[in-house]
Parts: sequence; C-alpha cells; structure tokens
Amino acid sequence: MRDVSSKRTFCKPLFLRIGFILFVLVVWEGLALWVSKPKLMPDLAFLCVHSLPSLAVFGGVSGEDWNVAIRVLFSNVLVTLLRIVIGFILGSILGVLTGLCIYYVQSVKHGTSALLAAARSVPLFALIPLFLYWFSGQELGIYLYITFAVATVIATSTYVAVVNIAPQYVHQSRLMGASKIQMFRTVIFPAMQPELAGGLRNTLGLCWAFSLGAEYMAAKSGIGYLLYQSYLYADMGKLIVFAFVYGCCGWMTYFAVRPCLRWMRRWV
Amino acid sequence: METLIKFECVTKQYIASGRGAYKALVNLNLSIGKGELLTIVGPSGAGKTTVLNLIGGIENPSSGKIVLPSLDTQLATGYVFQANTIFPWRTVQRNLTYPLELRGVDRNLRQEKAVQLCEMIGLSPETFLSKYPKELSGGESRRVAIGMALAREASLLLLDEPTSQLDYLTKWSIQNTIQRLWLQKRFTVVLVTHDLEEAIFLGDRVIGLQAGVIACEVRIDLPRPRIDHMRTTKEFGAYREQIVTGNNR
Repeated sequence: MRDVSSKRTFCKPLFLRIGFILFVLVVWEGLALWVSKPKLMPDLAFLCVHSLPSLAVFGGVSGEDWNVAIRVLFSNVLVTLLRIVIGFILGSILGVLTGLCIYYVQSVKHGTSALLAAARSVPLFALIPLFLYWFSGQELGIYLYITFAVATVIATSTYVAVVNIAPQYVHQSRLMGASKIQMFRTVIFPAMQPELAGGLRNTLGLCWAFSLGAEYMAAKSGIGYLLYQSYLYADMGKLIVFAFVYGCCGWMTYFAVRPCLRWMRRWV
Repeated sequence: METLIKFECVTKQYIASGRGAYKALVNLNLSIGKGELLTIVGPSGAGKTTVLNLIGGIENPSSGKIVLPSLDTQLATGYVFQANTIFPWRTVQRNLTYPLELRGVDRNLRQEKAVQLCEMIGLSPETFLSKYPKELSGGESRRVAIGMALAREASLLLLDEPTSQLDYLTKWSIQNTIQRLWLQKRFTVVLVTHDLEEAIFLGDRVIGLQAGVIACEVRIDLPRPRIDHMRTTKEFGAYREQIVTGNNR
C-alpha cells in the first residue's frame, strides 16, 4: 500500500521550490522590461540568446558559438571544481587535526587562543594578496589559499564541536574504563560528527567564494577568472550567467556530499 | 558490615560566577557498607549528586578525604547519570556491550552478553537491541543505562535519580528491576533521589541531606523482596514520617 501522506509531503517542497524559482524569474523579467537597458539589466531571452553563446570569446572565437561556449564553460567549471575538491579535502583534514590538537594539547590551546582570536577578526579574503605575492599567481598558491581558508574555518568548527560534547559522555566512558585513545575513538569522534557536519556544509559553500577570490586575482583559468574578465569589460550578461553557474555548482556539490553529511548526523 | 567507602569530614566548595563560593557538602562523615543499598534523599541543591560525583571520582573534595578501607585498587564503578548518558550514536546492543568492547571481548561473546543483559533489565532483545537511543522512551533509556553499568560488572553502582521524570508505573517497574538486580548481584548501590517513597522502598538505609549536611539517617528494616503494596503499609508511613520530621539518628 502506498503512503499517500509521505508522497504529499515530498511533493509540497518540490512545488514550492519550483514555484519560488519561477517567481524570481518572473520578477527579474519584469524588472528587465521596466528598466529596458540590456547592458545594465539583461532580460532572460538576452541572457540565453546572446550572453551564454558569447562565452565562446574565451575560447578564441569572436562572436557567438554555442558549442565553443559550452566547452569553455565546462572546462573552466572543471578547473575550479578540481581546485575546490582538493582544497576542501586537504583543508578539512588539516582543520580537523588542528582543531583536535588545540583541544587536546593544553600548551597549543593557550598558545593559539590569542592567535585564533586575532585570526577570526581578519577576513580570509584579505589574505589573498599575500598568497598572490608569495606564490606569484601560481596554481599552487590557489590550492594553498583554499586549503588554508578551509582549514581555518574547520579548525574552529572542530574545536567547538569537541568542546560542546556533553561531559557526561566523557565521564561515562572514563568510568567504564576507556583509555584516552578508546575514548577518542568511541566517544569524542562520533559525538563531534553532527556539529562538524554543519561546519563542513557551510565551508563547502564558502569554498566557492574562496575559489572565486583566489581565481579573481591570481588565475588564468576557472570561473572566477572568466568572471573577472567579464567584469573588466562590464559585460553584465556574462556576469549574470556566471552567477547562475556558481549557484548551480554550489547546489550540485552540496547534493554530492549530502549523503556523507547525513551519515555524520545519522543518530541526531 | 564491612565498610567499602568512608567520607571523612568531606567538604566540597564550588565557585559559581555571580554567587561567589558556596559549599555543596559541609564536613560530611559517611560510611557505606559493602553490599549495602544506600539511598540519599533531599531537595534540589542539597548536595546529593555531589556525593555521587565524589564517589565516582568525577570531582575531588575541597577538604577532607574519601577512603576505601578494604580496597587497594580502584573500584569498578557503574554510574547512571541524572542526564541520559547512553551514547546516542550507538545502538542499544553496542551501548550495553560498550564496557566489554573496551576490554577487547570477542564480538560473538559480546552479542550473547547483550542478549543476557537486555533480558536482565527487562527489555526484549529482539525488539530493542538494534534500536538507537532516540527510538527509546525515557524508562527504556534508563534501563539501558543500568544495563551498561551491569556490563561493567561493577561492584559499586551509583544511580542519580534513575526514575525522575517517569510516570508512576514505569517508575515502580524500574525500582523493582533495581531491587531484583541488587538481590541477585549483591553489589553496593548508592541511589540518589528526591522521591522519599523510592528511597524507603529501595534503601537499607536512607540518608536525608539538607544544604550539604546530613539531616537524618534512618535504617529501613522492611523485609525483602519489597513489593509494591508495602508502600501503603503503616510501617512504610512511619519511616516516611521519621525522615520528614528528622527524628531519627
């Protein structure tokens, strides 16, 4: 027998989502028609017919060419995605290890507390020029910057996640005779996962912003680089296309890691 | 009765922000016999949980000392905390066998032991072993917490309000389980509660704590196993009266 109520609850958010997207598109179209300056606020038809195929210009083709435009778009999305995946994985591992180190090693905790407090008030994007100078715009600099930025955020998330573990669990484990390693394996590591999952999800979203910042200033490829080029020529249509591409990519990466994040929160 | 734990002039002081220093226990002298079922009763803030935390080694006394006259080594202690402390990321089976897992007991043996423990605490293994704590009721969670302590093969069981926030039937059922397990195993139990009836029903001795000092101490001589209808007897009422008026020591 089919569960009709669950089907309804599944369909309702889907309709709402589609409805909201349609609403935004209609509002956009209305505003574009009202402003009627395609260079400032292009309408949807202009974006699809002119802005998107004109991405072919980045592939060395003057004018509009759908095939080249799509190829350019995909190749640059892949470049950015590779930077994000590598930066995110390395940064997450480094961040979790750093967060745990801060929690477990008292001298590190005391030594880094002032540094962390100061680092929190420095916007991570403000550090891009430093990486730009240190690595002269090389690919390595972009990877290192994304890794560093992710690690900084994840280290804080990890530390907070461990600190927030209910002390009773630790006491219970100790009274049951757990060694420090056993306690980490059986209590600390599983207990910190739900909160860490939240941190990872947010950082994954931020990763696209980190990559944008790095590519904006230091890259010769990637969507951030294309976006910067479009900005230089005040090409509003392309800028909007790239904003849409960023949105889709962020959405897809979230859905790709969602099973893992759900697993981390399975018992909550 | 052989003394298992002895509090000698123990004071526990906390520094609370905004409240300054306050003493949860003041010069407490208390002996707990081996195999005794001691219940400690008192209002909130009387220092009941502090007594358990000191026995469990979670906290240290500010002054005075706690001695274990008959033991050279550390006591195997099981602690059922007031807040639910079965691990929510483990199934009931993995919670029950947690102490065995720490000792490196073989997986098959752990599985067998989980079934035994589940039956001991009055839960059906087929239904409960694969459940996660979020799928359990309050009473079932408390039973699993008691089961974990049993798996530890604890010689001392500390129970911090094991039946608080439970309905009457569940409360009585858990009280009977505690009594049955104690009669079977004869481990030492220190049970903290603010339910006077529970303290009398379960305890060999009831200690009344008030603002960190012992206000009354009553030995309960009701026969065991104690059954539910005893709660309505005259003797039971007399013990209640004795504790409430503090006319005892």
